[in-house]
Amino acid sequence: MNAPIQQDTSSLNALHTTIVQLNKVILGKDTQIRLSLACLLARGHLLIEDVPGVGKTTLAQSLAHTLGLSYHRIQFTSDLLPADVIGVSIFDRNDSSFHFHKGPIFAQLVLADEVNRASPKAQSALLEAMEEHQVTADAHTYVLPAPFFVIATQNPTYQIGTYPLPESQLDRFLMRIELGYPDATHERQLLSGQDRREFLHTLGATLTLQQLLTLQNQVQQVHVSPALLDYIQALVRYTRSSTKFVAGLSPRAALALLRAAQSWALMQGHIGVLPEDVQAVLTAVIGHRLVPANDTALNKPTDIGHYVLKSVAVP
Amino acid sequence: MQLTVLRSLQIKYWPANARELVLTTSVVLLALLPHLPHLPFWIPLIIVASLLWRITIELHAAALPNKWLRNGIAVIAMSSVLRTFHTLNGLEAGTALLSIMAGIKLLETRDHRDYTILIFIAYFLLFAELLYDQSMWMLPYLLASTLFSTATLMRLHDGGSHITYRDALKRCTQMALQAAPLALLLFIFFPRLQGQFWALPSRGGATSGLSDEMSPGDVSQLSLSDDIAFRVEFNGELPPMNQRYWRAVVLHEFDGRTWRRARMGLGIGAVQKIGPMFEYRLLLEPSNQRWIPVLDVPLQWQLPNSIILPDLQLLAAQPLSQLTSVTVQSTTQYRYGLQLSNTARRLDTQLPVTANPRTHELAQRMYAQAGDDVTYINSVLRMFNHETFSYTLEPAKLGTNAVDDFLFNTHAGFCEHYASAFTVLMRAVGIPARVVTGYQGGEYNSLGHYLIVRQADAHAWSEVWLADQGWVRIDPTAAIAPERVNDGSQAALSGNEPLARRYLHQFAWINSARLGWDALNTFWKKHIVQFDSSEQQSLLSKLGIDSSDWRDLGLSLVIAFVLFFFGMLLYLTWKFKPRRVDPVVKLYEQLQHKLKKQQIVRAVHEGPNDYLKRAAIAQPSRATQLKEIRDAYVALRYGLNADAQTMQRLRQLVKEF
Repeated sequence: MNAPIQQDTSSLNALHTTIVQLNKVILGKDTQIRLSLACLLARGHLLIEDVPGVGKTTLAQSLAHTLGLSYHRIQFTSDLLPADVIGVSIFDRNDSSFHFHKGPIFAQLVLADEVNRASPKAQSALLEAMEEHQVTADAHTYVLPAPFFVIATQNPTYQIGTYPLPESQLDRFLMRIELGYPDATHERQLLSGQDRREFLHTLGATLTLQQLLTLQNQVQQVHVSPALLDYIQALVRYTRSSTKFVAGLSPRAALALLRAAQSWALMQGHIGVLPEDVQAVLTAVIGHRLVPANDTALNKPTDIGHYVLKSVAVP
Repeated sequence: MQLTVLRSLQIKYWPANARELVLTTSVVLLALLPHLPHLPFWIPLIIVASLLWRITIELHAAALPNKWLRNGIAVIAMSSVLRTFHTLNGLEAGTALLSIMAGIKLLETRDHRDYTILIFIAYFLLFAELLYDQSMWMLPYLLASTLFSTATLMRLHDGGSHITYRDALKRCTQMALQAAPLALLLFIFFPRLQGQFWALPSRGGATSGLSDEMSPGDVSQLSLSDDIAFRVEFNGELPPMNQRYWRAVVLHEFDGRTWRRARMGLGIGAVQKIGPMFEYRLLLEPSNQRWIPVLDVPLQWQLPNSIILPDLQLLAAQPLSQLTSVTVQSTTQYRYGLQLSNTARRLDTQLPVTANPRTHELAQRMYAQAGDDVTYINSVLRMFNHETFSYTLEPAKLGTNAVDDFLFNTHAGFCEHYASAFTVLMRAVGIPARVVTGYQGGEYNSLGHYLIVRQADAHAWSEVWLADQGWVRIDPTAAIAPERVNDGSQAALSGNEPLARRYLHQFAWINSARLGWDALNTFWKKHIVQFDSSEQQSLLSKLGIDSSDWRDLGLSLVIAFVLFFFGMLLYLTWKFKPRRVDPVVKLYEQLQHKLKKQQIVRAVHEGPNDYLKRAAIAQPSRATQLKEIRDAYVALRYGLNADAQTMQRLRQLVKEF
């Protein structure tokens, strides 16, 4: 059993250290932490959706710290302009020319906080950058740093003052996760312990940039067997034929599912992608990509994920 | 012009469900169409009115009539049917009710459920049509309509996949073709139980063909009809043309104008055969009458519950409301009724005292001249032959003393005039005589080797009783128009026939096409519609199945079905079998089977890792074994470089487990 992932165990070990460390900051959210890392390793962007105050921003900040990435935070508000995200050209009197001042998007990890509070114009500036990995200003194209990872948080769409992201833009996020309330034990620990934000600053980077890039490359090399592809196709086919959904999953979604599953398999140390790996990331990957039909009881993305999971047999 | 019409319609909107509505309505109309001839005239009117009402509603986006109005209409419709038929039961009333309900259902049709109900009504109407008419040309129509209905049903229930009508039709045709072998199987093997329960419901309504009384003009009226009365298939030789007398009704009572059947019983007379015997099978078209025309005179027949009257009329138990087939043996040379009872003699010499005085006078005079019965009969026939009598389809109207009028004034008549006059002349001198009506002749179809007897071949003749010979058939028409008896009705009447019909018989190819079509029709009737228990038996014995008790048939049917579905099962299993059977998958399935016995069942969505971990927890004693199996299976199924050794190991592990 000499799968390629065993070749460089050092980066994998570093990854596990990272997980342990992150668990010290965000208490009792192991799954969400692992999903976030899987998302990052699969070179996808992450959307965290939950009510305010459950630690969305803290998670994003801890990720930036422990991964040792350059980090910017953009607070989205209703009057945010695209220039506030991308940057702006300013006239320099010294050499009588325009100079482009890079906006906060130029960082390896960008936290777009409360992304659905901004107008669609500002949202699309961010989302375009996410897709293209570059921004264009004044007919000039600027390449964004690599790795480029966006964590966007958003409030539940039923809250006042939100501009819900359209489905086509939700699709840009590889995963969507919820944090949820902590359980009693962890909440007690949180209340009695020191301030999380300050604790955060004591953490050092546990993963080098080189290790991160190695891991990202390894994800793509995790073996995918025909049997697993059968399973992924069965899942996708099911969403397309089921009457529970307005539309089925796109090929892009299928690809996203595969990448995320590979990433998960790598983190689990599996010798190839197992159906369980697909199932672990399924809800996070497809929950925001499927719109339930009107008459179904499937309202929440988690319900959708579970429903699809239960409905499709593992071949 | 057209535009103004369209504008004046003021189409406010094009209804969203227009396509469904139009399709469903046309299906219902298609199903109603063949019922038009046997529906009371007011029912189509109501249906058309409902249709127009519905169209108006759609064009003006108006509301459908409310519940009370609809219920009111339904109650009125139902009571009208009840008034017309005095029942809601039975074929005719049932069809009428169904038709009218289909029509007024349009007034409340709004959703898929209603469309579906309408289409089911259409199916029912189409099948009800088979109870009326089983002719061959009906079949393509019914098949096409059924396909159309099914395709529409498929369109209505396409589950949003928007199947095109063409595809739906294609798929329905496919389904029909797939069902054909089963239908054939059922047709051949389904037990044909004899008895009223299986018979088609008898219908009230018009009778056709000969009636059980005869007035001047009755038979000549019939000879205008080209309808087929019956077909005959001879087993062996055919009797010569002039011997083909098909005896149906025997008439005894005379009131001066009309002949009627006897109302009293007669003695029994035995038939003595003195010539060759003919065996044949009659295929009788429905006439709604009980009498069965048989070759003069019948000896034996096979028809349950039929009776024969002493004057040799064969009667079925029920009016013939559907195609009936009877096998009969007859002889054309016979001796019958040598003993004549006094009652019978009185009945057959009875004449109204005051009617036809001149005929009485003529009879007395001629009998005095002739001296004995036979000479008298011959002199009467000679009179018809030599004097200015003529044979015509359109004789002049006769007065109250019909026979007097015919013999002394008009001198022109059809067979019933001659038979009637002859019989009266016999009775006037005390010779027992009676009128027999039936058919004479028939057209031989050389393509199908059978005889077609039409209503046009209807005929009337006489029988006289002679002391030493019993009842003897005398056909006075043969004296005046011998070609009627020798060459058939067409030859005798060619001068009177409409032009078109005359041409029809003149051109050989038209004639053979006509006969070919009839042969095809006869085949259809004889072998498909009339496929009864005896036909079934003979077919099955040809297939080598000799026992054909209905229980055996039922059993073989069940067996055939089981075999068929088993075959289907095998085929489908083969078809949907995974093309490449992965040995790893097989082993995994074996393992699952073994674990199942320990109540550890894999949920369909459960992956191997989760499942085998769960199994290990449930069976701690075998945890290591299960872990090894898990690793091997996962490596083989989902890993990259699984080798033969791992495979070997998994096989061994599963076997040992």
